[in-house]
Amino acid sequence: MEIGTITPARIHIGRSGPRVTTKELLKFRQDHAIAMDAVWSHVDEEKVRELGFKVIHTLIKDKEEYIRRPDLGRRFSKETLEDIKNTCISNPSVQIIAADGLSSPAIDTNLKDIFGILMDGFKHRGISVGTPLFIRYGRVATMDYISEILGAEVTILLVGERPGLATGESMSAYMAYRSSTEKPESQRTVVSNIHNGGLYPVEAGAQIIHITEIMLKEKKSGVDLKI
Amino acid sequence: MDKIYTLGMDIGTTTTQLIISEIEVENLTANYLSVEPKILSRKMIYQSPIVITPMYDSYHLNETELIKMFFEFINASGVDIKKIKTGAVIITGESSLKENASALIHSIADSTGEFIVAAAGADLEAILAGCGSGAKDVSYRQNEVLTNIDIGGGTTNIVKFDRGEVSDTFTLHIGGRLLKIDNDFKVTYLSPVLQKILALEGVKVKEGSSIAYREMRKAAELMAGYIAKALTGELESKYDMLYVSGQKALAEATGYFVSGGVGEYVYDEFEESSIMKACLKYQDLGPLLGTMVRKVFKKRGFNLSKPKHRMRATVCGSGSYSMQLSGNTIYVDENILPLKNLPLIRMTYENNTEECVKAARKLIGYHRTQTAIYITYKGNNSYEDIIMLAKGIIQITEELLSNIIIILDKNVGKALGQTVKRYLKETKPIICIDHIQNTHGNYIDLGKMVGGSLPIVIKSLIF
Repeated sequence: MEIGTITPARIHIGRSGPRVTTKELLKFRQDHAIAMDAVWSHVDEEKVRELGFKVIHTLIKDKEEYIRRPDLGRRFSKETLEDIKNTCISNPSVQIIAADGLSSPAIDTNLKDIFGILMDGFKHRGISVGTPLFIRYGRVATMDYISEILGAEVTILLVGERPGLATGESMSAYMAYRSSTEKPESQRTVVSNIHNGGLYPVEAGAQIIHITEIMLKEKKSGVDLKI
Repeated sequence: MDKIYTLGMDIGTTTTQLIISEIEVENLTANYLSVEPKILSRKMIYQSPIVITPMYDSYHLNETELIKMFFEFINASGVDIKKIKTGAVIITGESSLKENASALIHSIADSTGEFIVAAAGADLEAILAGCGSGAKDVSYRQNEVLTNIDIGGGTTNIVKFDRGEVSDTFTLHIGGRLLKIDNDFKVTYLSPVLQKILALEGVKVKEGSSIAYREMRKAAELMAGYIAKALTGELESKYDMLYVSGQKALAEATGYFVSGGVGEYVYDEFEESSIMKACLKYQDLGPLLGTMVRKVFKKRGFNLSKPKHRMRATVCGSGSYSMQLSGNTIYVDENILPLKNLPLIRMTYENNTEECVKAARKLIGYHRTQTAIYITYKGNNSYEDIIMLAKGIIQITEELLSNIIIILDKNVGKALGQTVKRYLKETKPIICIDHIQNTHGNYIDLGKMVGGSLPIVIKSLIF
């Protein structure tokens, strides 16, 4: 039975006749509810602001549309882009962006720790960091538009991962050098599985600092970057 | 995928052997997703003949001959010595009590220049034998409690694995060569411990006088019985002198592996006449002891499992399993590597550094040399927590240590290393590695980076 203790996957869970046991059925429903909530809930924007993030949003109006229209979750209105251009630091070495993606709890639980070590780490190394942005209803490709408009060298997008049945709090960091809408998806390097049961947010932060340094030196990212 | 060559040399009371393994390590730097280092395969590519350990007399190893042998084996293997990245030379059994063992082991370790470590110590030997025999792997795979009993010439090293983890080790003064004979059944050597124990049983044997085969049989049967009783904790206190260094433990298990030279005689049945012949050939008790272990275990209903390696268990263990790989998100100032024979001090961090700092500074003061600090991390993984620990580490090492060398169990090495660097006012090399399980031993060797992680060996150095 103990083989089940080495993975959160649903193996070796027993059965009652042809069915799963009540305990496992309830556990499944609970985990499924956690996953649903992760998608449909909202990030506590007050806390994000306290960390120093500027909050913006994509063309999406609500969660329902966010799920239905991935294309709109990647783009911004003219006004928003104008606002970003006018109020944010231009041409930073590093632009940090957080987005709710498909899991708001991922941002709620992980952002503080990873952002702390990232900011201190870049400051210590003399690497300039732009105005941190939080995107409501944001998908990965938003980083391309922001990078282009602000002229960032390395863009780091911290985004809530699509939740599974093991955790609803997993976050990924997508990173790209001169992130651009003209480039294919392969421009991005990813550090994934960031949560307290996977790669700890602080350790992920340390690794992102390390990869950023290499990107700034090599001036490339994604599949082009051989580390 | 990276390949590492590792070497194991086991200098025992009776025999000496050497193996070279090829270990395939996943290249971790290319894989951002992986947190754990993965050893893909272990393959033995050379095994030396098993030769009698050269001795000047009963107490002194023939150092010159051994070093010559070492290089002959390496030449025969065809492996470039410079390519051998890590491994262990260990002196096992009673030889490690021999007077010149320490000097010898270091001279072999140093003459190779690279990252070959010298090690000794009964618990480490037991563990390595249990790894080499396959007991550890089977225990992990089958979720069982299994015990490996490595019966050598001078000592019997016992290790119990609970689902792949070492749970207990102890060593007995029992071995095939505690009584040596010549062709005319004259006793040429009798270990003082065995003599005392046999006297307790009313068996009178003396060095220099002759012994009947039937008495040898009796002695072997008694020794096999002591092993069985020690495993289950039934050995009365009058036999306490059988325990090496007085360390006792229980090792009852669902299955038993017997390795070591004597192990050869546990798994196969032989005619009485051929056992006697074998005793005369080796001029000791070994073949009889193995036979008796089989009989005693069978009588007691102990379940005997077949080891992957018997005679070669310890050397395979030291060649292939002595090394651990750190995680791949670590912080390493590479220019101070490799580092050898650093005393290891241990501390547990929960959420308070004050006690840790005091205790650690005291221990470092006692060692008066560069030490490595093993931290069992029980913090909450928050950035604030890492900062607190980093400040604590700086306090610990202040004015005492010129290099900061931290080994962690949890995967926070890179974050901690970077944070220490940030708060450190002076310039000191920092090594902060993680994902190392707390293993037995009190010294550590750090190798050079392989595939994004750092190979390390935690060992004992008891002579």
